[in-house]
Amino acid sequence: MIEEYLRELGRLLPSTRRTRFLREAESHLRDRANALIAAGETVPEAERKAVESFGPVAVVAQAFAAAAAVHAVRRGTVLAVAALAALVVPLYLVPENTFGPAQWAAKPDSVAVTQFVALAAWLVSLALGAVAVVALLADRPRAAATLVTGAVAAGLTTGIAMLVAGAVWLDHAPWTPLWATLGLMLPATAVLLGTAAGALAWVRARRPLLVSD
Amino acid sequence: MPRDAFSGHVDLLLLSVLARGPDHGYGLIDALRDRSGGAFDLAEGTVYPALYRLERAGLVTSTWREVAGRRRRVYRLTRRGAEALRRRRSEWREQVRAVETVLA
Repeated sequence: MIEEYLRELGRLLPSTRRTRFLREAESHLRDRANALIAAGETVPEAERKAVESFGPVAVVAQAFAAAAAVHAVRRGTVLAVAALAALVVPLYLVPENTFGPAQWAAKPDSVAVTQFVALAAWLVSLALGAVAVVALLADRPRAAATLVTGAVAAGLTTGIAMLVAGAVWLDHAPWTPLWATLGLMLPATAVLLGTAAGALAWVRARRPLLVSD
Repeated sequence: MPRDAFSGHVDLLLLSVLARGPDHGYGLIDALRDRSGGAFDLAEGTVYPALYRLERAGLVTSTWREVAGRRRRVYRLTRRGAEALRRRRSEWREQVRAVETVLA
């Protein structure tokens, strides 16, 4: 019965710290069952009572999910903000001032518009991420979770917009050397893939909370 | 006493038990039950997320140790946790005094 309980608990636990939680749960259940057996209970009855006193699987999993979600929100927020800040700022500053058409007045409208969209999405993502951090510090994890979802969505938009802006730029500046092309497109792709992976992990981490709501 | 009577005070209770020395989750739950005269009766599994939350807040630390032939996660109060315990204990006593004044 303990094995069955742990299997069910493992199925419901979020991926963050799952191994640790399961090990602690198993250790506890074995200790409780052994104490009951030492007090005269049969093995099946001891395991049943140990599982019963540990609590319903859904209740325990929900408590773990709530505790882990705060950690996931903090980590996801920090990583997303750091990745965007580290990649987007040099991606705009370097080509903007190095490669033709380099002067703002000579820039085609299509390039300017796509760059503006990417920059705006980046600023929205940063702002939402910063407010999420404030919400966490104010002990409002659910509000922070919503803000992180918004920041991740804006981050995905930034990645897509950066790729489009890069493609439009290269279309208007075919003399851009290969190394600069890669320097433009690879970080944009990394931002998009990284944010997509972060979004997927975030949805998975939030699922137990959403189901219980 | 209803099973959820202590649910809002689990953190304070765990910090208080840890003030007496490091212990693993099973030991903490038994200590809570003994010190409360059997009144503490939460679902035992919900204590571990509370310990994890306290650890993330820097109020306790934990390591895996071999105890009685099995690897267990042993928790210990930090200096910050001791300060938080002093503060929350004082707040709790004020609350109790205020409630008793109203009920009297």
